[in-house]
Amino acid sequence: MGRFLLKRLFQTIIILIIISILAFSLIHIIPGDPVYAMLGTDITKEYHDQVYHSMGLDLPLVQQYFRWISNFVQGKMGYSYHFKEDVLTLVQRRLPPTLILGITSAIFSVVLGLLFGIITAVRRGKPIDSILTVLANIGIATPIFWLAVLLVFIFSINLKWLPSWGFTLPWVDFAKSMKQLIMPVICMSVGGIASYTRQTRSSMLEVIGQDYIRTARSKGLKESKVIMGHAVKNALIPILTLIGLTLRNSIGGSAIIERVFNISGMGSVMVEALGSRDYIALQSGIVFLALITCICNLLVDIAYAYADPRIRLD
Amino acid sequence: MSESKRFFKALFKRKIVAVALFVILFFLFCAIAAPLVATHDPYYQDLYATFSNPSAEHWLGTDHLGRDVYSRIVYGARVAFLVGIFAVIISAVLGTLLGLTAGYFGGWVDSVIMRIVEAMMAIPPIVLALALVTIFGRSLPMLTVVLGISSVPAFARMMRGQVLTVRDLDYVAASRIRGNSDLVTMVKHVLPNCLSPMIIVMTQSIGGTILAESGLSFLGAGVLPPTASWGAMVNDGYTWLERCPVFALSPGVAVILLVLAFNIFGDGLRDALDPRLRGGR
Amino acid sequence: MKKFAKALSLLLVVAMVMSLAACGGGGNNTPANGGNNNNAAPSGPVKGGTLKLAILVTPNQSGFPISTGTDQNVLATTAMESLGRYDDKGNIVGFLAKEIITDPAAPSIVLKLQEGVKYHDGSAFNAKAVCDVYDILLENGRQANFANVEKYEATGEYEVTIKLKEWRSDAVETLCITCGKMFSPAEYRAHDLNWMYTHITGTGPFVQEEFTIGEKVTFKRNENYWQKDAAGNQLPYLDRVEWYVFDDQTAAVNALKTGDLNLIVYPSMQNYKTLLNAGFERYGVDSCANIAGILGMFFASGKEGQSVSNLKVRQAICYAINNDALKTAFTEGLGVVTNQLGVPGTRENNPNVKGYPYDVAKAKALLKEAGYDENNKCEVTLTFTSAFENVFTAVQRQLEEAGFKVNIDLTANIGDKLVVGGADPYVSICWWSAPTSYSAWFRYFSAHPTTMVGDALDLKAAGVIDLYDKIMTAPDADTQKKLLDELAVKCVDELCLYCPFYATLSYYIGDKTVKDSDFGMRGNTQWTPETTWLQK
Repeated sequence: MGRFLLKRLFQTIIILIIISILAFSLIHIIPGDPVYAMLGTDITKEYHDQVYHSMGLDLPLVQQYFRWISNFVQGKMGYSYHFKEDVLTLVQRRLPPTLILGITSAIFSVVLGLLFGIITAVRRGKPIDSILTVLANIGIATPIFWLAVLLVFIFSINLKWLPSWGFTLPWVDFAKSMKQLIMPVICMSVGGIASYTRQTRSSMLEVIGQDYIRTARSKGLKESKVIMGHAVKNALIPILTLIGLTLRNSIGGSAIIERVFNISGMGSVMVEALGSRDYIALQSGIVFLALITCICNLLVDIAYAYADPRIRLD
Repeated sequence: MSESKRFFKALFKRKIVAVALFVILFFLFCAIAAPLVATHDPYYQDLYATFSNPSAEHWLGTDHLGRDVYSRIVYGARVAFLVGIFAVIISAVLGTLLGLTAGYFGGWVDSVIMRIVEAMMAIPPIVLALALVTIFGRSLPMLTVVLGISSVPAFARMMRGQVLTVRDLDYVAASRIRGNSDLVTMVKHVLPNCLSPMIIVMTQSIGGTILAESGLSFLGAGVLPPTASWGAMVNDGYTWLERCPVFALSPGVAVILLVLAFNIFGDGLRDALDPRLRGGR
Repeated sequence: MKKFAKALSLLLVVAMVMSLAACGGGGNNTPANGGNNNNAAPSGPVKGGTLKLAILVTPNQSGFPISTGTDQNVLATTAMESLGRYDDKGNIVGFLAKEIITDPAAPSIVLKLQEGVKYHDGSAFNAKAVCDVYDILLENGRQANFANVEKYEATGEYEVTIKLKEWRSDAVETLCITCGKMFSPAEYRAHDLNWMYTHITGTGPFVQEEFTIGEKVTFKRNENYWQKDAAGNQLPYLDRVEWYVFDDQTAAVNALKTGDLNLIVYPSMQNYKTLLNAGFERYGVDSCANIAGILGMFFASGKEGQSVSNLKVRQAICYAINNDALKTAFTEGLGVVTNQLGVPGTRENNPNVKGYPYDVAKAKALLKEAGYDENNKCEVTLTFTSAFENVFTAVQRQLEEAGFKVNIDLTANIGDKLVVGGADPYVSICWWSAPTSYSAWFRYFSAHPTTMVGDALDLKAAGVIDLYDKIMTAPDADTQKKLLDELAVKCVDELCLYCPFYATLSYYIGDKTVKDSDFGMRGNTQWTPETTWLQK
């Protein structure tokens, strides 16, 4: 187990290095003078040169990269010219909403998706199977912002049940926070619920058809025990690998949901940084999001290794 | 019963798959025969007749520029198929190359390729696509390439997994022993065995790509106007939900129908091509 | 098949119920506070309450609001006041400078300041502070605004004398409005510019409480504000003013509808009618002749041999545009067609300008004369910001109908592009405000690298710059009017420097409870937060 862990940790670091190189290249791929692109052309030549120098753009590329990365590791991510603050403080403020949204909807997707998946597998061919399957498929097929706009129109504007925008940290005002979370979480987890339902269903069907389940049944075990005790346990393992992917998707996809519900999170930071050519926020933001995804993947892999001993020996 | 007969029987065992195929073919027909199916020039605008309600003249009314919504949806099917199919081809080709190489050779080649793929996966796809669009512009071909690139990792991983399962089978080893080069072995023996999961994933990805296009439109990085793309239309339409519900909702319904059809058909294909697994690779 | 049909019909029912719920609710969208009592009740200002506003751009320089967008200026006005203010006729009157004494003969401006005013940080507002503010502006690259200033000095505790090199009619506007926003110099000296951007420290009726970029800017009542109302009550009336940043306009409109907001600043025209029908009210003047903005195209760049450096091509573009159709589709009845920068009905408008009334045949003929035809199409590259995407799409079609090939470049805005290295023939769709500020119009004629028209042809040789200088230094109003008329003819009929589409009102929309705010009444950037009150 220790060796496996070490190997995965090493791999994660390599991945992060590759990402940092990709993010760093951005600033040099986009044509034009980055300082003018970032600050507009109204600035004086002196100010331009000062910023150019402070960003280290006059250094050789390799040196620039190492300068940036060593500063990044020390938490000195630089000053964002669009957001007018240090990137680290910016991330500290903007990350929690995105994480809370992402994690809540990931949990939502997994729980509901598994539930629906098991129901559809066990009640295969019954009406409930058809309804849930069709719903799951429609869930995957709907443009997420279109759904969000419809929900707001129905539940905020016409029924006035839920607030149409905003985000409150749960430890600041729990009731308000929950009310504001409902619609964004539904929108963000629809796709996840759908894919978990499909995956769980096929995974369960596969397991149910296998010999040891038949053996268990023939031994006269209760059907519910067979399903919960044997089938689900074995069907869950392949599902685990999906969780990392779900988190990545919900954190990345939050850009759209944050825009519809006017939530200030990391997604809107990335979109705004791109729009205003704020390279400093952009570089660090990408690496930050990737870092979170990598950590999640690492945790999932460890959990996976625990659940399925074969992996450890691989 | 012949092999193909068995395949089709399995494929259409669930009637819904046939319906899905019908929907896909219907939209494909719309896309190919757009000038015949559409009632108007999708780019003709009448600025004095904006937001008209559905009528005999304009079946789904007109949009904010007085263009015929129905005709734009018909022409939008072209963009949907073009973007969907080409993006998936791009990601399938690149993904296959990477996955095949990594899986077949293993060792450090595998490590290097898979780390790069994982790095790509760690960057949220929307952010990656937005960044690429910002750099290279908002044209339709560029958008297709961008959407293709952002789903390369999924294909690469799937392909590698497939290769690993067949790599050590007897006939692959036999081919190597017979003195065939690695390239020949890969193309002749490994690749064909990986085709059916490939087709399944491709079918399912087309839907995802069409959706991603609408998401990018919403974030201001979709195709440039006046191209009639469903993503751009959904994005144009949603702001007018109260004023002109038909215009606001119909492009979204078109997206849902086609994506749904591709997903269901993809599921059907999976069941038919891989009866042993009945879902789930 | 049956199963699928069942599921499908179930779905259809759900969809129908949803859409019924959606449509059924349409009628009762009137905001809770709305109704017909807005003009009926003659009651005076009510104290207290929180004004909630939506801003649709991300404010990030409001504490140093020089050459920022109008939206950020409106926000900054909550806490920061300027030396002069526009009255509701568009003239500049004294504010923090209670008297602005101009002497065109000297030439000089004397500012007599309000006494006993304090900044939010406790420092005193006096002649020294004004000079300090000017110093700081100069330190931060605003030399262009002071190009005409010989020197400024404190000639008393509350008196500043500014000596000018020559008298220009925009001098008061530049010094008392553009550069006249009085932030606290002490705060600047204690911190730096980047700090100032997000800490609005002025003398205004509200004190900044929180400034979170991309989220919100909140203000609370300034208990020590220097003004009282006519009845002797301490101003301001409101307890709090809260600004919320919305990236997506639809989200802001939804928040207004649910009653979470009182007012949206500068929403796009497209929401106007829906909101009006839902019982909301537009704030501001009623006629474009008062305060309006113009949407149109500028012909930019175009080195020798580029398409738009040819006069005939520019004229063909103007003939190809159907202004009236654009106005009809995009202004919701609030706009008027114009063929020049002076809005119809204003002093700046010259009714004798012929302009280029919509005529596709003429456009095609001109293109032919310029040497273009079906096989050799005239290419123009258009650039615009996403706010004008709809207008652009319409314009693109009209140009294509006249035989142009339209390219699009959105990778950079026009300013960046010129520096970044493009020498393409650019046509830029942009919005410019009129007519309070001539300098704003002629920004495009200056020698700055981001100049929009400058490169298209030699403006100096064409006499445009000269004419502009003459207008600014005109000794009296009649001469100035004559020169303005001459400039309009020169720019439009003779040189065809730009192609205006229409003028339309600046537009604020809210829930009818906001009173005496003067939104949209005093130039494009000012309002009167101190006298604003909310009807309960």
